[in-house]
Amino acid sequence: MSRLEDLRAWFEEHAEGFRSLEAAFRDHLGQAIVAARLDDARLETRTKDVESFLVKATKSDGRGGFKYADPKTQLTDFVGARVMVPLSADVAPVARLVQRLYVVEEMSDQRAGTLLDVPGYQSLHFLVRFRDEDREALGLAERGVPDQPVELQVRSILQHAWASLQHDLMYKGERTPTDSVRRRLIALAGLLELADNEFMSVRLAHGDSAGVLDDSHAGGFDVAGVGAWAETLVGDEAGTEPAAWAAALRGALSELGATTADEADALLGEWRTRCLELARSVRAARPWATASYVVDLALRLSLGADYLARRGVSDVAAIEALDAECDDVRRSMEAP
Amino acid sequence: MSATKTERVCVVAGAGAWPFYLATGAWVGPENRRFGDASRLGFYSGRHIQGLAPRVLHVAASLPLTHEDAATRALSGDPVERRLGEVLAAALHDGLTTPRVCVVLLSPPDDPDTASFEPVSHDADAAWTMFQRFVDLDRLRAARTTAELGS
Repeated sequence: MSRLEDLRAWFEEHAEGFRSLEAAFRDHLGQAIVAARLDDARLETRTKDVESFLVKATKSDGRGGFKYADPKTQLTDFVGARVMVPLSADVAPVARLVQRLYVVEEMSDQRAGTLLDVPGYQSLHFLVRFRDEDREALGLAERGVPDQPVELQVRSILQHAWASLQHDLMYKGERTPTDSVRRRLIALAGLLELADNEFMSVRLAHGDSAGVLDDSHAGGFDVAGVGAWAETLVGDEAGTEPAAWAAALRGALSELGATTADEADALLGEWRTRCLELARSVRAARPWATASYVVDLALRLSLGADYLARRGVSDVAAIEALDAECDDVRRSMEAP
Repeated sequence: MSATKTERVCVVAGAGAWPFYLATGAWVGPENRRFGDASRLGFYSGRHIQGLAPRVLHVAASLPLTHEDAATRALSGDPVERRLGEVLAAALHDGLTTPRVCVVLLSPPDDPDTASFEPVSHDADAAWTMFQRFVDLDRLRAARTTAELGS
């Protein structure tokens, strides 16, 4: 049997399992999105078809061999899913949901690519698998659903539009795009990124308290709630916290794993009752310090290096900078 | 034998730049400002070149001066982004309204890496600079007046 025939036979034998995994994943994540009331998030799923699998599985490595020596185990995109959200700022609530629901085997933020100063492809990619307890509760084994990973992308509508058009031009055309075409594609990516930012500003200017896709119904608290919480902690007048700062604090809290006021209070520990004192000290040197800034600083003081770890920052320089900042703040608070 | 190359200082003009640096450890100005081969900034105001030449740590050539940018960066886990956000917030608080700015993060006033020297006075009628001028650090350290700096 040739390699091609062998791969075709293998895939056809497993195709039903892939389709059942796709259906189970679509139902599970779809229901979770509805339950979390992430109403503007759109879920799409697909199972790789046999021809697409064979093309990828027999791709050359350019040296006379195959790019995938064992595509049956090396490929991970037999089942794929995509969640599209209105704006890039809406990606985070979906990402949080995914991280709560599944075993995340890989996560790569394509937004943080190598060329940060050049516009281009932006998307959040996951390789996820059902948790054992969910496989059992959903009876997946009994239904013959294989315990395999699912590739999941989370991206905004504009990110998706650019990625789709760019992919068609770059990879599906008969000709290799010229430098001029590539340059124009990059320019378009920049244009769409600006449009995304502008939509976000319009939302905020319009007074959309969420600023981002509102997952407060999923147990979180919205931007207005975060702003009010921060104002109370530092003793600021109600309604004075700028929405932009409250939105940024809400994003930080989400990354820290706090989606309710109680959870955020717990992160602050003893610093919860010292925010007023902290605000006075900080504002002596930084009069611009908003309530959100002060509370974020209190979180850094409370959590130390864990603040960065929870936010996915492991850089040694960042940890040292945080330690130095916290030491400075403590010293200035202790000074007479 | 090769001579040790002295550091170049870009001395920027502006009455507000000096107190802003003392308060924030940074310089903010029009976007895409160029500093040539300077590794340090100096400050000319009040007919003096002030007595500190901090080291340039990071240059962000063009950043939006908005509350959204200031907040998002200031609450970032990345220390450079955080500093940039803090500087943007300080600039907004000071009333700067230009849409985009260049931000230069500098070594703080009390940092050993910040060169200190006696302030250099300027006695001529016309301003020594109304934009920026480059001068060797060694010359700044030796001079008492701008006349000793040469042209």
